Amino acid sequence: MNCREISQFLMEYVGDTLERDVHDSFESHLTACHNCHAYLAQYRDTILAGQLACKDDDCSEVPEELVQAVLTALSKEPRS
Amino acid sequence: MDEAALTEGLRAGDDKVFETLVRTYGGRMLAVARRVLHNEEDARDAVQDAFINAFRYRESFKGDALISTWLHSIVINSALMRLRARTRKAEEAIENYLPRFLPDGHYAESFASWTEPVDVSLSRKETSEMVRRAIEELPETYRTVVLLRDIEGLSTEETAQIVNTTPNAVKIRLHRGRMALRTLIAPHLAGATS
Repeated sequence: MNCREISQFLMEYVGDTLERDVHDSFESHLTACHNCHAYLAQYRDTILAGQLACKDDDCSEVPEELVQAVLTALSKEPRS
Repeated sequence: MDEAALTEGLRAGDDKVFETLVRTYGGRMLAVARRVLHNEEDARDAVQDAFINAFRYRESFKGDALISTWLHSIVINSALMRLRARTRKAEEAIENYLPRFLPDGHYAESFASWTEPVDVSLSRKETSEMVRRAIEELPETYRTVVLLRDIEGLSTEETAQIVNTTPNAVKIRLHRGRMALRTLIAPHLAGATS
């Protein structure tokens, strides 16, 4: 495997879904290739960075005007 | 009010229960819609659409998932419907953000692990904002899949269903989207050499 081929398997490797023989070749390359090792670390950190960057958003409060707009819209819905 | 009481009230169309749901989950739903739409007005409209749909289809909720999970999937759908309705702008090619290789298969550039743990970097507000801006910069096709899979936590199959494509296409878009995001944030993170 060369670096280009390794890059195609990064997602499966990170998700632990690589087939055994590919997994062994992948790790064998990784042990010898500093550049692929570093790229993998950045790939993993990128996923985490995205998750952490968006985490704070979820704590945001719902604006009262949106609550009222939703409740007004719901009050117009037909009741069965 | 516990989940069982909320479920019962939701299915019955109880106004008080719906107000509780809006106040309890509206903030998180608005955050999801903002991430997809990047427009406050559209995001609020998507949340409103989501609650109206939740009300209309309330009897389909059987309580086999948490109400928060059910509302989460509804607001994602509402936001994506609004996104699709917008005039599509020409997308920048994802290839511009992907790693380049030499003819012998080696990377065309050198990389080093970021020296600072990413959770430390992301504890700074400006870094967090930089990453959010980078996600917004991704070409839409890829950004949507990165958001649904990595941020909203949907499975490959759920994402494929929502964006109307195959699970394999979702995997390809996710991998390319992650690599593109790495390219965009790497220059801003400690120890990056690219």
